[in-house]
Amino acid sequence: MNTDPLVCGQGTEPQQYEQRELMTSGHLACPGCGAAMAMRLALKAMGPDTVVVIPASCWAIIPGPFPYSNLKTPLMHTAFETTGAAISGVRAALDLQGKESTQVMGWAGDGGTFDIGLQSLSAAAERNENVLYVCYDNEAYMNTGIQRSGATPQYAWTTTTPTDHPKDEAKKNIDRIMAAHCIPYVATTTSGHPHDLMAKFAKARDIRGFRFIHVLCSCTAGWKIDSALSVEVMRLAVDCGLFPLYEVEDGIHYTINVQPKGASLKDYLMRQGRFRHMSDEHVASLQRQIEREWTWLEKQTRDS
Amino acid sequence: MSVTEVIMGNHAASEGVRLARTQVIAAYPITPQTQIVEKLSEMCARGELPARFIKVESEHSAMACCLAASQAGARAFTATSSQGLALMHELLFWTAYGRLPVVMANVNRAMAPGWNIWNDQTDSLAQRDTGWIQIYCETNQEVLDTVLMAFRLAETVDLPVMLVYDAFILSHTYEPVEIPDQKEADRFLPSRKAKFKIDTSAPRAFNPLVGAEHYMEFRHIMEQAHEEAKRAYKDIARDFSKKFHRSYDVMELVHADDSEIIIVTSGSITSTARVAIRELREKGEKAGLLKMRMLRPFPTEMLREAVGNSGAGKRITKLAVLDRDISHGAGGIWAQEIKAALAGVPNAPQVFPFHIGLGGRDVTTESIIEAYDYAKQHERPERAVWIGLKK
Amino acid sequence: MKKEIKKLPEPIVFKSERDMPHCPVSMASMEWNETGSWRYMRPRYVERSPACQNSCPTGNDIEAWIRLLALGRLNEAWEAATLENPFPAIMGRVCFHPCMTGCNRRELGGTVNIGALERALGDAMGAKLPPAAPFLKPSGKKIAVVGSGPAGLACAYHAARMGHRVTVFERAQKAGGMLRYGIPAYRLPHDVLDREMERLAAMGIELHTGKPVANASHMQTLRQDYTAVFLATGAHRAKTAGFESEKSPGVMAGLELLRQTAAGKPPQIGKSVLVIGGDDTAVDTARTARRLGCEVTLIYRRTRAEMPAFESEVRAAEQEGIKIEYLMAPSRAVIKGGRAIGLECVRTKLGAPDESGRRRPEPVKDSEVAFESDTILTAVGEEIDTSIIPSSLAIERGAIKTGVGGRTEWHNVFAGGDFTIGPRTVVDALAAGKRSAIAIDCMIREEDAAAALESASICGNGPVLMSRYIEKVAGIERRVATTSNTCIQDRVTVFGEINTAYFTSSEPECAQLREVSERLGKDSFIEVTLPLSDAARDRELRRCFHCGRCTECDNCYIYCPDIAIAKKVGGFEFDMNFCKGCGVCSKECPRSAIEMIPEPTEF
Repeated sequence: MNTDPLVCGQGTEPQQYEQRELMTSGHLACPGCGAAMAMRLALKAMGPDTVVVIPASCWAIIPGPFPYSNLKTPLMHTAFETTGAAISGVRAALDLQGKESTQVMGWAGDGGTFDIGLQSLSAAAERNENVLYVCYDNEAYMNTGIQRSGATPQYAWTTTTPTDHPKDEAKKNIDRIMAAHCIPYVATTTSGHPHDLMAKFAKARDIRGFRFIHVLCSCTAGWKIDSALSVEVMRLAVDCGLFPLYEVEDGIHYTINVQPKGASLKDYLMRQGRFRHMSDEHVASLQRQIEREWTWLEKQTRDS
Repeated sequence: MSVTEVIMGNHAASEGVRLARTQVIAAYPITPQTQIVEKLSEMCARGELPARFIKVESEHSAMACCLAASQAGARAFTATSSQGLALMHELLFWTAYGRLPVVMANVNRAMAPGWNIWNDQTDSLAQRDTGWIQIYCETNQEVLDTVLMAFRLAETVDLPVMLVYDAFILSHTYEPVEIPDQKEADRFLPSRKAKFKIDTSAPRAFNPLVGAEHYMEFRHIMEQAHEEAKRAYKDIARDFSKKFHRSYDVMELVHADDSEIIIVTSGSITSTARVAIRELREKGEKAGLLKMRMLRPFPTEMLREAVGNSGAGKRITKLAVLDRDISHGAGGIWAQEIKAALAGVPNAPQVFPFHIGLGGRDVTTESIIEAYDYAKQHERPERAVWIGLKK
Repeated sequence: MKKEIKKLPEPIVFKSERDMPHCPVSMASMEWNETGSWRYMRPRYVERSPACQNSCPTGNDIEAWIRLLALGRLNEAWEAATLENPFPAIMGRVCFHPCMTGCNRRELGGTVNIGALERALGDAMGAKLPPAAPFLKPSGKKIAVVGSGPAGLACAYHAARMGHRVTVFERAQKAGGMLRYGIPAYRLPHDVLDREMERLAAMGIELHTGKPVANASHMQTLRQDYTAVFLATGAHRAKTAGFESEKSPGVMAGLELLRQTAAGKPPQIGKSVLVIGGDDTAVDTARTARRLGCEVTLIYRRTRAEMPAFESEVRAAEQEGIKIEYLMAPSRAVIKGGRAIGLECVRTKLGAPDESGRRRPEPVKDSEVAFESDTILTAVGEEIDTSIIPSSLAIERGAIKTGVGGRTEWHNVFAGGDFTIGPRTVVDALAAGKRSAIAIDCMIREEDAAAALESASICGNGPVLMSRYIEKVAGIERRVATTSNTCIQDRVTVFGEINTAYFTSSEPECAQLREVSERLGKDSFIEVTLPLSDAARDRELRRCFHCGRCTECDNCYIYCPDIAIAKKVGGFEFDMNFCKGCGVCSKECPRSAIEMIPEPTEF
């Protein structure tokens, strides 16, 4: 652990983390990929006794082709919509082999979670399988070339929601959906908040039952940002209140982990090419949504 | 010691799964398969089967669970039928191409729409290109026995096996079935030893990207595994016969020595056809019967050996293939397979395709004899004949 | 692109399908895949000067000792601090800390309280008195320093560290000059000062007190006996305030009061005292008189806004019951029996700015005010005693004329501090002493002092750094960066280069003052400013941005999506085989210690 008093945290105390790398260099993620950061940090928290299950997504490509892998843990690629089921199957097999302490971590994108994988995810959550399901959310089908998903924010440009008619619908609130399953643990984080991320993965690791972590991951190509801004935009997403960092335990106990620093929503949006066409009315409308969400969230926090 | 009980086909499958010491079961209810998993649920609940039964939310997830459990080294089983099998389609490839020895029971049921829960083989035959081994069963005993053989075959050649039997005619019909005891089953089917499996002490990535530089090789390697499956099946069937005194060859030719027109069947129609052949023989017809048990890998060489007239002139003149299925626009699937297998064989018999009993319509001895008569009366086949069709 | 660092594993080639596994399964890692080839920009670690360092005339490496102190590495912190500035315990108390004006933290809750931290460092080391070891081999050269004020002591200290034998001549009975006789003990306790003098003595510097260099002929002898002479006798002569009857008994220089008080023999000044002036000496005088039991009124001809004294000192004076009359100028002393018994003043108003930039006070007609007094103390500035300057040396604006590094027209005589023209602060005196020490060293080495001083100064014209000088002359690496392959850059980190996401706005920790009743009690010269509590000190240490310097905070390492940053003992290393050049490490460095540069192309 870096107990150096000069270490920088972001609202979360610096975490003790695995110094060994469970992910290797040479992988195929784009420069500055938020999803690559997320996996590396998540595995540091989870440790080497972890099985990773990945459906179709950027992360189906990132580990590299046969006969290679960039993970030092077992990795099973699985079909797009099957993450919830596949992790259940692996869990069952490992349990029967007496490997109950081995962690099983599903790692799906937003399409694989919000859209095509929602059914098997919901079922696995309902069965309270002893697994961790991670949604790394880059807010569109990035691997197929930036098409809108249920996780794409309202007004965003994608190749299927062109700027002449950007996305009409608001982002699906997957966290509330998952909390409504009353599973032991739901948390949101971003790879721009590494200590928060590692703290949540470490916490999830030590909980039995179904755990869901939603990680916002920047996508330099899909968000149309300079690769160097990759972390900064994730931080702004939190600091402007658009992406609250919180935890829900047993579906009812809400904890807000990081208070937004009051960054401007417009600043967040205008740094990204995918939002640059937005009018002031659109920004104001999104701002009202943020406020509604926070009112609701703060009420849950107070009530729990 | 084995015991003989009168049980339905579905429960015969369940008994087989229990005796195979299956470790992970994932299934979703669908008529007419449901009793398999109901029974397995009871067995798990009572501790007779120390397996993990995952009650998934769809057949798609059932197969995903099974293949994932299999990837992690477990012996996995599921069962389905018709629409459920169709929903699994994508994952049938995933299982086979991943070389995962999952065993599945598919109870043949017609495809919708309109809704029809009755017997029809189109559901499983439509999955012939997914890389699975498919074995069709005639009796409840054969269902139980095939579960054990299927696991052994699957784990020998790293390919999934679908055992297939007819809705209601077998699934819900009670027959006496000899249920081996566990020791006997264990002697036949050892525990699984996976070449590669998910294991944090030997981490590997399974099913990564495979580019054009390796994809064909994987297909070829898997094709060789199907070839190997034909050889392996013979050994396994021989061993099974030795241990249980019941034999199940890839195909069974009845009246091999003198028949001229042969009825070709699969599944439970075979039993009906056995009666029809007896009746025809009693009338002096040189009628024979060929029971097809394995669709994939297709036993081309055995078929040519059995009916290709290789040794004795052109004694077998005609094959009347009964298809309880249809590949619209091309006809009966068994007939296509058999024609393709006999293509270019110099003395091959004529193949007469028949559609019969689709969507659960009764197949009687009369209807089978009608097909026989048609074949006898026609010099060569013109187009597929629909037996019992309202005209 | 140049191949760098390590050899990568070879990719797997299957000659035959028989060599392939039966299913698509991994056999090796991706580390054969040199993603460094994707890069068109590359990161590098840099080290830049923190703004505080650049704002300190001595170039004190404040960031370095704050970091080391925060890590609990006291000895190293001390070593870093005393590299440029010999007296943390003293300067923490008496410096006006221009570093804090430069500090980038100013923009996010307030400047770091460097003064309090510097004192904490000095006091933490206090009794341990580690003598500073010389960096260079003994030169065998003798150097004489005349005057033991801050300039003289600094020159002596730095010259000794460069291996020269130094003798200091001091007229007074004790060393310290203005530090002892100008700054009251309640601001700089004598035991703190004594400790530092002992440390200098422990370094081998000979301190000859009570040895005035009385005249020009004495000077001639010195410059023959010693390789070099440094003159730093300061400015001890009080200027006259310019009111009528100023030379009468009952009127004395504030500086004289301070001197006698410091020497332990405070003069009798009666009960009621007037102090004329507005600079620190005036406030020091007033507060000293107050501590001697007087009722004190400070008379200043401008307003508080123009007052040159530290705001905090003025506030403390008021707390202690000193009355301040602003916009009031003395016109004449009231004489009775040959002695001043009061002062007639006139009210002033502020007119147009004078040459100092401050608005000139102008008398208001018919506004005379009279004050009674037992003693009138004047403190309107000091000037130098030019009597020791040999007639052959030029005098310019009341001070000795000097060139590069304080060199006078006599080749081996140098001068610095208040004795020369320039800002008269303690820290400027320390800086002058260091510059002259380097210039003397250059003279001994027969090297160009101007070039040496320029190359040793931040950006060529900023503070002169001993670290750079000794690195140049002796190859002694004194850099602060912990990471190898760091590119040292001669530029100052500005606030805009700090990534403020990693810092929260917080107010500085302020040192508490002793209660007034205690300050004016039995032990009336007890130190007024209390040290920071340990907790407050630790909080304050953590407020530093560490501008332009890697602190091994791990940010670059944690974020790198390509695992192309390795943690080594004492820093980080980029793996250029894999770095894709995304720039996240540079952007997310809290303190601008990584920059992106175009990828070098190979032709």
